[in-house]
Amino acid sequence: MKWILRYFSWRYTRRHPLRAVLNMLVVALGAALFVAVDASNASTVEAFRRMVERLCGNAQLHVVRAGAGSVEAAVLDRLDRIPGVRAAPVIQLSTTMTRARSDGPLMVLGLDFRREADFRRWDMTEGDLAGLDPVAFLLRDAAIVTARFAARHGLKAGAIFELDTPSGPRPVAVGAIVKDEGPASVLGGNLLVLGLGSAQKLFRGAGRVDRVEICVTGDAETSAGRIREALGPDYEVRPPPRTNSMLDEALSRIQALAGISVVAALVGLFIIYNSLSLSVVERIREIGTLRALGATRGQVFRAVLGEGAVIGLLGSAVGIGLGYGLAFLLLERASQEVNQVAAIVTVEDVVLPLRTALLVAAAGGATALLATYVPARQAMTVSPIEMIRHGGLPTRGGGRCGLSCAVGLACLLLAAADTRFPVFPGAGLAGAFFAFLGCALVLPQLMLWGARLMQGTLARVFRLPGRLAADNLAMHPQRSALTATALAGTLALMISAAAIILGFKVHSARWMEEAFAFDYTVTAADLSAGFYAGAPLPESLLGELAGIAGVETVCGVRETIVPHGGRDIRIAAVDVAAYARMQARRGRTGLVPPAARGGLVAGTGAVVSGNFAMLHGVAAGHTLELETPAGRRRFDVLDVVEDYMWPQGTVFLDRAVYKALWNDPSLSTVDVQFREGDDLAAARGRVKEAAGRHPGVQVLDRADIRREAHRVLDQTFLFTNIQVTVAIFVGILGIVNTLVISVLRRRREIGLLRAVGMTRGQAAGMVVIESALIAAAGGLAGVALGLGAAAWPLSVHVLELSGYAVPIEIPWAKLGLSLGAAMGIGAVAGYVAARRAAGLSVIEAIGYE
Amino acid sequence: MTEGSETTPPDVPAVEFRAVRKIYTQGKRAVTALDGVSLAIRRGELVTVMGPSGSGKSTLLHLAGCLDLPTSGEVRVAGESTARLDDDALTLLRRRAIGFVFQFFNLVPTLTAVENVCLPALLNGEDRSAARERAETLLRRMGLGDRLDHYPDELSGGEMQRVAISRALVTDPGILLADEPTGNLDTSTGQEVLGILRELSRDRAVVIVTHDERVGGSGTRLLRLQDGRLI
Repeated sequence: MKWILRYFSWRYTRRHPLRAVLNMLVVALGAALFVAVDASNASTVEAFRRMVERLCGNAQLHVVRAGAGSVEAAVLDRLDRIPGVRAAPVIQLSTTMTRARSDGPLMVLGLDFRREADFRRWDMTEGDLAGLDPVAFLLRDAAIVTARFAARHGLKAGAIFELDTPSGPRPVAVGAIVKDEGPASVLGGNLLVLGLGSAQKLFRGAGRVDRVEICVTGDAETSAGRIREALGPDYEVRPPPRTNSMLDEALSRIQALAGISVVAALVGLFIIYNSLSLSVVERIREIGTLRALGATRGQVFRAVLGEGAVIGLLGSAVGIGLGYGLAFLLLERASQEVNQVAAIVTVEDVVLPLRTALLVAAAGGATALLATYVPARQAMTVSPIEMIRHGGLPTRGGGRCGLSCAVGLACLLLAAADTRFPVFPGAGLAGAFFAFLGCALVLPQLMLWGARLMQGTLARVFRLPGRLAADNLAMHPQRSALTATALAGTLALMISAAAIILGFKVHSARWMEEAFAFDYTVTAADLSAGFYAGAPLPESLLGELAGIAGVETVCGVRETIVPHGGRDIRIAAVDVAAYARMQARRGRTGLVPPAARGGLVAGTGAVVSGNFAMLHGVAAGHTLELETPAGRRRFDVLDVVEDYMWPQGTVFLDRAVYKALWNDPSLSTVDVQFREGDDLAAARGRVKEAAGRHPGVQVLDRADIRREAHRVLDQTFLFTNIQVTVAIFVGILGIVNTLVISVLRRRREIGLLRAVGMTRGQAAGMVVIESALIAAAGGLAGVALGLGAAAWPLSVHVLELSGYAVPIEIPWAKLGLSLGAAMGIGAVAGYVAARRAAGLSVIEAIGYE
Repeated sequence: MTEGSETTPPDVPAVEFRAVRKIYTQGKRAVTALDGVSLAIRRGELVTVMGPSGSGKSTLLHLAGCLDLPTSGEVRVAGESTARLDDDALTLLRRRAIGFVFQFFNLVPTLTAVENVCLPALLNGEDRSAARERAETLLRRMGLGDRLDHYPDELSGGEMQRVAISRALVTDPGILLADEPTGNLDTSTGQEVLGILRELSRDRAVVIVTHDERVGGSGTRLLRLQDGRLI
């Protein structure tokens, strides 16, 4: 067996290294993307776990308010009375350093230093926590900063810097610098520790903390029971959280890319099948000789299968390495996504789980083996007699594809049912898989019918070469259809991604045009870091902007992320009356339908976004309960509106209602509308001047926001586009392979035709026409599959991940490009194969009698 | 030449046909390639088989070479009936007992001359160095001592056919089957090859299928086929 592999497989591979590399590349492509996604997810989760471990220190339990909201500091008294329980109040929030907002969010911990020693160890660069100057920390707001943070911003002990707070930028002094160890090593050093009093004063309000951390002596579960008994149902007692819903949400968006790798693997399957079929055909005589000399069918089968296994394993190994490198790129993207709203995690190392590497190796090997199975069986059944008699395989093929067509139709129906009634997670991706498979199985019959239908036309237009090209397609519909399917698959990837992206862009642009009533909006958000990565603005900004010449209306908006129903939802609090005036001038209603205004202003109702309604199972007329700092509140759902600002759903409230419930007067943005006819370009300058007193503020119009939103979309799909580009390149080689097989198999036939008078040009023309027909079939199937897969299965997948039901937009430009690309691919492939056909020696070709 | 390792006793035919019929189906037509052929070929014979196209010569060779099975009747190779053998068993019998020489040589283009000759022995599970030694000996005896590491496209037609004959002999089979062995060679090279086959027939049964009358007359026995029957 090893001699067959060495003399038969290895020698052939050595002569055709490019083909071997191509096959391995195809396996590596799918493997790399899967590894990159999985590794970046695992690394992020691991980094988060380490961060939680370091931040929690010795805390075994957390006490939080049931539902949401602050914990009253008075709870500490009750906890201190429980034997064996040590408690420490904690405030934890995200904010930004005023002069360095583009650095991203800072995590701020507000701690009671007297109780802290039981929980965490802070290694100061000078002295220790117990030795901190209490006066320094009491007389002014002072923070413990990490050595990395201090070095980055050139801070020494005693230096003053500003933090963004709900009431605007506030000065904070550097009280002490801590070494980058233990809890201070998290988030790349973007961590500050304030005394509890300062944290309450600056951010939360007197008497409120976010949680109480607990250390116990003895069994934690028993102690938890005693604590629950002492505190009652208003509080929850639980172990420190090991995950975070915003983390999970961001990771699931990255995970969506893994779905693309499944489709890429399918395309790879066809490419490898084509390539190995070609290699079997090219080695028909050697195989026949081996069989005549005494190689059993099993030995030949295992040799070809062995080639496939090697391709799979080597391709997987390359893919794992490539994926590991790609993970570093994806991590940056994942971190940005995760930390958009709050500082959650900084990922510095890539973790590649062993199970991922093993899974990828197994999947790569299995894909290659699956692709190799049929060529291996073909090789096994090579008759030495046929080889001796004809010098090759019989040239007449079968035209029966009824069974595969029936199975294909069943797969397409399954895809339709799966997406129409998505009853399980991943139904969208499963539907896309069945759509692809169904197309592959139905295409042979369609090509057979198409070839027969076109025979007459081709014969009239191209005479004999056209007739023979159609005849050959009809004789080998399966082989031609597989190539067309591989081409269709790569084009479908491109089209479906384009259709979804274009759908998002078009509908989000329409929505922005409807929802954004302003001429300009003033925000402290650095859009390059994320739409919500910004500091709050003071309420006084409303008055400042209203005083600008030409301003007709100003509208304050406050956006915040709160937990609800196991997700982190967005609360958008709007000055409803001002917003309604702005929309009325434009003749629109936007996000606040007229019928809902009264309920919003009265504080009895809320409007929800479409994806909130879908994800949380509510509709207009239902009741919604929200946990607020002022307690649980019920709202009537007044209406459901289209909104694309937050994937986990948005609840719209009147800002005055929000201010009262959340005790938060700050603003996220201020929208400004000028009088009709005003010179908007000049007006922008006036707004900038007025708002410029607040550091880091930007003045944007709708076009600016639209541009940034599109940039984020394009970035998200960047990896898909790269993969599609590579897959198209690989698809070209697949078609070339198939056409070369076709020429080799018809060597004698072409030789005979040449012997009876067919010119080289006519022989080449026959091959080019066949190539064009395959490419056209692939192009049309790619368009149908791309739009079909985008219109249904993949859009269901997007809905599952984001809750957004975005109608698909037909990407006409990409369609044209796809069809053009298909014909271009056909031309290139046809040219290569036609040269072979035209260059055949007549004598050699017919010399097997 | 060495003593045949897979040889049959002189009284047992190396190849025997007993009322063999072979019918092929071509589309809807049934073609009788051999019609009740009975023959016996023994060690020491050089049997030539002649006949017009479609007479059944190649079919006879294929059946004798365990490449195919008769529709009826019995084929015995090296004393063993092929009737109850499956494909793997036929292959093993072919590997041990039969050497093939083809008209178009059928050398593996990616292997050198010596590697081509080693192939059947390696397929038989023999030790590589022993197989190589035997291959080199055979090639030197064929006058190809200086062509051991040349590839087929670097050899002349006669040289390729001598490599093919060496390959056929490497497992020392008791039966040598040659399908138009001189068909692709010039006259003098063809005579040379014929001479080699004649010499080889001293220790084994050699069957040559040919169109060439000169080749046909050079054996110890001539069988003529017409319409699937011996005449």
